[in-house]
Amino acid sequence: MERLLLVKYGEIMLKGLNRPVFEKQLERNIKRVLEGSFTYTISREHGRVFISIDGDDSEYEKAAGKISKVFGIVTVAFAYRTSMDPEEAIEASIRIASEEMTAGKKTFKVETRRPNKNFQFKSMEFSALAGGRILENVNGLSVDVHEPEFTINVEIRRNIYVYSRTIRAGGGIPVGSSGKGVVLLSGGIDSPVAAYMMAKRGLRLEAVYFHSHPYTTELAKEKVIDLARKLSLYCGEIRLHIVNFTEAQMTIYEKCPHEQLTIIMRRVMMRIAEEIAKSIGAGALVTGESLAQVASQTLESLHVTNSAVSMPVFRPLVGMDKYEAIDIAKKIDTYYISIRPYEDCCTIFVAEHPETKPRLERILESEKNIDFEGMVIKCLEDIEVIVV
Amino acid sequence: MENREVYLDNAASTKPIPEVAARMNEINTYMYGNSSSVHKKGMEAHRIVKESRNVLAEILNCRPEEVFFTSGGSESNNMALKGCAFAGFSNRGKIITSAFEHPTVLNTVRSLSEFGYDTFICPIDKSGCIKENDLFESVDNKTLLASIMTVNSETGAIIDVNELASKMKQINPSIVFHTDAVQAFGKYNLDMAEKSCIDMLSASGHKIKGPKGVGLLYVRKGTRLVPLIEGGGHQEGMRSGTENTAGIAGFAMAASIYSKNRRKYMDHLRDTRDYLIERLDKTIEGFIINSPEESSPYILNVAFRDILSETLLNHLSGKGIYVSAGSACSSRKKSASHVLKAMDVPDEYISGAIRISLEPETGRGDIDAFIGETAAILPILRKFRRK
Repeated sequence: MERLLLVKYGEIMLKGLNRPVFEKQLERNIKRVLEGSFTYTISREHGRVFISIDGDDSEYEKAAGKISKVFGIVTVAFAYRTSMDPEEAIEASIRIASEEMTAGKKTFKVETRRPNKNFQFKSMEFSALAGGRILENVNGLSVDVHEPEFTINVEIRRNIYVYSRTIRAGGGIPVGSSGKGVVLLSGGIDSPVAAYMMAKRGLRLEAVYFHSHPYTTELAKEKVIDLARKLSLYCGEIRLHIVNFTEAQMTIYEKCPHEQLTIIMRRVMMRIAEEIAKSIGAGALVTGESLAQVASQTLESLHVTNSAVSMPVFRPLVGMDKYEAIDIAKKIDTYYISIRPYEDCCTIFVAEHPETKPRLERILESEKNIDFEGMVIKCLEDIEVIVV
Repeated sequence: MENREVYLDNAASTKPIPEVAARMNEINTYMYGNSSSVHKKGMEAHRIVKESRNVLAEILNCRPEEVFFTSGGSESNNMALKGCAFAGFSNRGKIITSAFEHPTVLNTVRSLSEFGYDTFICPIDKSGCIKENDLFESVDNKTLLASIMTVNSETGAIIDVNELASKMKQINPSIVFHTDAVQAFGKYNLDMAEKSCIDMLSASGHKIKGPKGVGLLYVRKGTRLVPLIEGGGHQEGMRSGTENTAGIAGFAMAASIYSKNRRKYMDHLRDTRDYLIERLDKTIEGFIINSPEESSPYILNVAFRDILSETLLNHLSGKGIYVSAGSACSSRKKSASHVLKAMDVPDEYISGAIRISLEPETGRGDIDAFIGETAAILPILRKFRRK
């Protein structure tokens, strides 16, 4: 009998011929979160990944916590693997039941699945057998097949796996199996949430941040690096492109009507992000915009911003209220980084009354005062890349 | 060009003297015993601490047993104020301080007021000096303790604390007088001889090219103090905790170097500060000097009109030039400096105030670099003002 973590994945199972591709990606992503922190072995068997860790209970807890952040996984269970000897499986069931009893639980049931039909008992038979032996050996427990406080799961495969306690993981699709995107990270609450949501749908992400030295502090940049680092727990390694944006901002400020500042600035940002995306083979941009949240996110503004690029722009927060985004930000632990009080580049030069219903023709007219594409190219030449 | 380092934030912390760092490394590596242990290895550490204490006592012209090592200026100030206040807990007398103290003093006094102590925070005038009349008027027969800084950490203003202490004691001789001398120790002659009216004095290692994490509190013999940190009874039970041997030795060594070169350093610093003012005058439009006429040449507080100091600071930082806005401890907070506010610095200047603080190795080249970059960026910062 040995301990291990039993990982179940959901949506990947539905994929037809591509399934091995998704499974391999998932295994790579699991390895990545364990690499460096644990000594482990990993194996796969139809719909399951098994991970044994060299370490005690607390090491298992830590590993399970990390693994549960890998997209594509539905649950992580703390399991025992035994030989095909039914006695050994029963022993594992008893051990788990007495652990659960110690943790204060009183009612249980046993549920057996038997993909391997060579096992001598049928599923129901084995559940009854194991349940009986648990009742004989662990005092203070009773069976409740409808609403048990814990369920002993027995899976009979090439080996037998027994587990009760499971933690829920994020679901979704393994990062990297839906292509690549570039997220515009501002340092606020929304953009990391947007990144998280798209990573959940399998998008591998690189990030771009617009830094306005000396108007924004090094601490603001540090904040975005910390956000990217936090996201990398979910998204895998992130390359953060830090664009020196000051000169572009000043030019826009000088040459364009002030009520259009934000919108033109955002169009330049989108174009720069799109060029970065093209250069790394990414096929989409990701932003944290939410309809009507601020002046630059009205329907008209989104249209004008969007028109600067031809690549698809994913805005997973578009239909969310602020508090919904905050809930997710708290769940993924980016919230308290996002609310650090440093200014981002969008808040430096703002008009008192920014336009809320910009018209594309008028914006294009204003942009004639600046060398829009030249500005983009210049910014692309002044980028610092940090890998987190 | 960008690899240069022009460090003008020496009131926040200083670059350690290489010999000091080397000596500390040696002690940390080889003389690791606990100075309380009675074996040879412990005695080795004990001797280092004892000799260091002697060196510092000599600089302060006091007795070695009046010097207590702490973790730095903040602890020294807390130990002095809370220690003295709690020793007089039954009467809970009045505690007097000034508006331009360091937060370690101001906040400690504020928290003592919540324990029921009557407190008075003496205002300062436009030139950045204490309103002495208000100060003396506040002294009554219930006054327990007064704490006034020797050199202000934001403006460099120098206070003749001995004179103040003497006058306050003429009104009430039983007052215990403490001074936060963190920006003065090593740089000025602070004589704690019997005729001095100062009862307690705080100093710190890293402001004089010594190590961080070590400071001292001088406590005149006979001053009643309750220890802040209790435990194994180290340092006569006044401050428990294994002595930081390397830190203490480094502190004493740095203090001794400053002390020996005091006059030479002072001449050099005056010359450098004058040069800085001269260059500002010649090169830069729209600035005022917030430091008073008579102030420590180690610190110059300058405010530029119509800019945010933070933006200037960021720009300079990108060029390898380091200054601070207000005092470094509070420069990450958004509000303007409490000292400058108390001094009534005009609105268009107060948010553009920076502190340039020098050290004996600061040269004219450093000043030139600072002036050059500042002069170049100011017009741009004024044109594009952050909201």
